[in-house]
Formats: sequence, structure tokens, C-alpha cells
Amino acid sequence: MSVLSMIVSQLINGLQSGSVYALIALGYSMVYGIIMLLNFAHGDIIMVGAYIVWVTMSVLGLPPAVGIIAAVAGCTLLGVIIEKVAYTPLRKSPRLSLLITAIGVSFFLQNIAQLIIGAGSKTMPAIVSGPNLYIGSVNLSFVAIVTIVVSLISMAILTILVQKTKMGKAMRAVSEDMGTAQLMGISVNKTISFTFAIGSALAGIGAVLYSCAYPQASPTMGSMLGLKAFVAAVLGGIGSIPGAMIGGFAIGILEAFVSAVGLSVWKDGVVFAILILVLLIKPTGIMGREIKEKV
Amino acid sequence: MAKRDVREPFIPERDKGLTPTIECIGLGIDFGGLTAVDDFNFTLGRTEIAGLIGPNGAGKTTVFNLLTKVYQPSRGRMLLLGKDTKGMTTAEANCAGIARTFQNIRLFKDLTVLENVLIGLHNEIRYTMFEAVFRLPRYWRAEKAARERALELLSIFNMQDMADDIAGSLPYGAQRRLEIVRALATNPTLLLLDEPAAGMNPAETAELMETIRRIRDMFKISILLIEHDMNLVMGICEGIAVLNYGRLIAKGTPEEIKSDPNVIEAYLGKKGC
Repeated sequence: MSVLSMIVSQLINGLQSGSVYALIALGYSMVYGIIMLLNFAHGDIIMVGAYIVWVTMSVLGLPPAVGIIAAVAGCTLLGVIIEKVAYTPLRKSPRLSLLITAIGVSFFLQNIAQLIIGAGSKTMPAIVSGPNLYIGSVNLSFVAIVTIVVSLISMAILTILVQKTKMGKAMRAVSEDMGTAQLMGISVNKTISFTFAIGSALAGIGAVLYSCAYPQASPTMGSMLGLKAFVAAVLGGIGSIPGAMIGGFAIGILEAFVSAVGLSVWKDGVVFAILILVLLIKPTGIMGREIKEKV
Repeated sequence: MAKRDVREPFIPERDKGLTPTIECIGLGIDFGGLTAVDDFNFTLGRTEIAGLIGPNGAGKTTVFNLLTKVYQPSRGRMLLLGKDTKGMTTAEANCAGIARTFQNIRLFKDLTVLENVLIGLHNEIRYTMFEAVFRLPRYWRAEKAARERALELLSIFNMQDMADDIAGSLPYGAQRRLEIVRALATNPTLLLLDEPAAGMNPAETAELMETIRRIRDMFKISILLIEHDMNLVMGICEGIAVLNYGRLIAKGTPEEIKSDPNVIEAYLGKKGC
């Protein structure tokens, strides 16, 4: 295999895992943008999504379409419930309380999954299957193509939603100035719930796509995935939607190339080194706004 | 004609017989042990331009925050077009018809001028999330109508050419006008202006006065403004309310207020000592 075709196939691998990171990072970034909360339970929503796919398809024997819809709907609902039950009562509390609550919710979801389904990992059924594609000597797996295409479509819809609709404008208004947004007749509670719903729906899509690529579900699968997506969000500039997309793809491609040069055991280390470097050199990330100190 | 007692409620002659826009009865608020506003009895006519004046720290902005439900009153009632506003949230008060601008400009600085106005139109735009995602005809119709409405409002202030500029990049005066346009976009029955002339030169202030009058005539709404520029207050306000130490000490016509001994005392101190 030539060097070029190896690079192209690693790039595809990177884009595949990167698009999943990007989808999850979007949820982190949107929630942070609106209520300044690092929602560490976000990764665990993906775990729940993966289990929903497993239950609908492997346990109940339903077709993949049902599994996908159930996972996305279930994640959306779960995200909104978490927001209502755990975060809304703390809206006026210090941000640290919110952060610790988020970590608590994360542990809660992991343990409840262990309790109900067991600590062992479950093998996922094949969700999508199709012929592989060959471009020259490069082998493109069907799953990779589906993952990249579905993510790009989801991101396009999200961009339209945020840029072109009144819900999107309400979100941006609340994220910029909650008090003024209220005085414009925008319901802050509804807008925040909406943000959680969208972020969690993207996590649901991410869960399905991740399960296609790595067909195993375990109660703790969300934590590493969530942390990497968090790094992606920080790299792109947390709070920024295009930033989350760029950061996700960047982390995915980086991982792919680190593995390709034979350092796959260092893969996670490199990702977290990136986090440290970003925080040291440009804490606002690639697309983040400079925060001007008011005097 | 007998001299009217300025402690009695005042509204302009033409608004008598109509339900007042705002009626406050014994409104008061405490912050801990501090009473910021107390026994605030105030009536605002349907098409009245009124001023709220008083020395620094008299509680003027607190009154605005009570009217917009940013604060919930500790006691007393506030009626909006005759309806009690007890328990309303800020967003609900806005939907019910109260819009405001700020002493320190609070535009959505990173968004465009048009987007700022469109956010003001938020509750006028009606379509569901489903219609937005699949871009059904109603989405297009509603967004198009909202854009047209926003541009129409901007054109009142000759700002239609700035529609795509970033709000934070506008000159100061234009930002102030944009705040008013954004507030008008929420379709208010009462517009609250917090120091609209702050930082303006006399020519700009004169233009602002003209604009405020034009808004009232066009939209048939009542306007209540906090202002320190007495030329502006005396020039356009039909009724002036004077607040001192959190209490309303007078409301009347500019002439009545100018000659009221209590007001003079609040501003200048007691005579002859």
C-alpha cells in the first residue's frame, strides 16, 4: 500500500471517529454556551443511547430503524429530564455546585446501568451494513461513510436551526445575556430545555454511530468518549458550535495518525496533552472569543 | 381653578375614561432590611409620555425593575391594563406588553442589528420546531414576515441600511436607537426608557425627543422614561413623577412639578436656613 493511500485511509478513519467526537462535543459546547455548565453527564447519555439500541435490537429483536429512533428519542428525553431534575433547581447556585452535580449525575447513570444491565460489556448487533467502497487502493468501509455523512447532515441541520430559526436566535440571545433575553419575552427555561434536547439528540445520533463502529456497550463507555469530546470542545473553543465541529474532527484525525505511526497506546495521552497545551497557549480555543476584562 | 394636589393621581385629560396602562397601588420592595421603594402609588395614562425623576439613589431603576418583574414586589399590587400582574415572570410581563431599554446599553453585541430586532419579535414569530427543521412553507412565511417587520421598524429610525452590521460595532447613538427598536419589536403597550439621552449631545437629544413623540403617535402606546436631562423631561413629558427616598412625592404636569415646594426641596434642599 502506498504512503498516499495509507494517509487517505487514516484520514477517513480519523474523520469517522472525529465525527462522533464532534457530535458529542456539540452537546458540551451548546450547554456550556448557554448556562456555563460543563455537563460531565453528557458522555453517559451516549452510554444510555448505546444500551437503548442494544435493548431494542438484541433483546426485543426489533429492526435497526426502531433502535435508532428509540436511541435518539430516549437520549433527548433523558437530557431534558436531567436538566429539569438536576440542573434547574441550581440555576441560581454557584457554578461549582452545578459542576459537582453534573459529575454526580454521571456516576449515577453509570451505576444505574451497572445495576440494571450488569458490569460486563454487551455485544451490539450490526446496525447498518453494506458493501465497502474502493477508491483506487483505498478501502472505505460502509460504516465510515455512513458515519461521516450522517454527522455532516446533523451538523448542517443544527447550523440552520441555530442561525436561521427563532429558537436558534433565542438560544444565542439567552447565551449572550439571559436577563435581556427575558425582557424580550423569551422564556429562559424553555430555551435551556431546548438546548439540552438538541445537544442530547446529537448525543443519541453519536451513540448510534459509535455503536456501528465499536459494537460493544458497557456502563463506563461514556466517560472516556465524553472526556475526549470535552477536549475537542475545548480545542475548538468551548461555547462555539463551529469550534466543536472543528475540534471533534481534529481530535479524531490526530488519534488516527498517532495510531498509524505505531503509537496507539499513546493515543489517549496525546489527546489529553492537547488539552493541556490548549489551556496553556490559547485557553479560548480555536474559535473561542477573547474575553475582555471590564475595568 | 383650584390648584390640584400633586399627591393625587394624575393622567392626561385625553386618557381619562380609558383603563390606565399601569396602576401601582402601595407597591414596595425591601432588600433585606433596606426599603428601596415604598408605598408607590402611580397611574400612567394609555397614551401618556411620562417622566420618572428624582435624585440619585431615589429608586428610579428599582421601579423599572418592579414594572418589568425583574424584582417581585414585597407588597402592593401592580395592574397592567387593569389586570393584576402578581406572579408574572419577566418574559410573561414582556408578552403582556412591557418593554424596556437600559441605562447601560444591553444589546446582543455579537449579533447583527437585524437579529437583535428579530429576537425582539420572538413571540410574534410562530412555527414549530418540526416546521423549522423541514423548512415547511409556514417557516418561510413566518421568517419572511418577521424580516419585513424588522426592517420596517428599523426604517422608522433610518437604520435599515445597518441591518447586517454587528450591533456592537455601531456608534453609540445608533446603539441607543437600536435598543428602542428592539423594545418596540416586542409589541409593547408600555415602553420604559432608562436614561435614553445619556451621553447624547443637545442636537441628538432634540432628535431623540422628536423620535419619542413620533413613537407614541405611531404606536399609540404609553412611554415612561427615567432621565436627568431636564430639558428633555420638561419638553416632552405630559406627566412627571418625582421619586425621593423610594417614595413618590409628586406627579403632575411639568408646570406643577416645577413649582412644587416638595420637589424643590428634594432637589435643592430646604429654603432659607
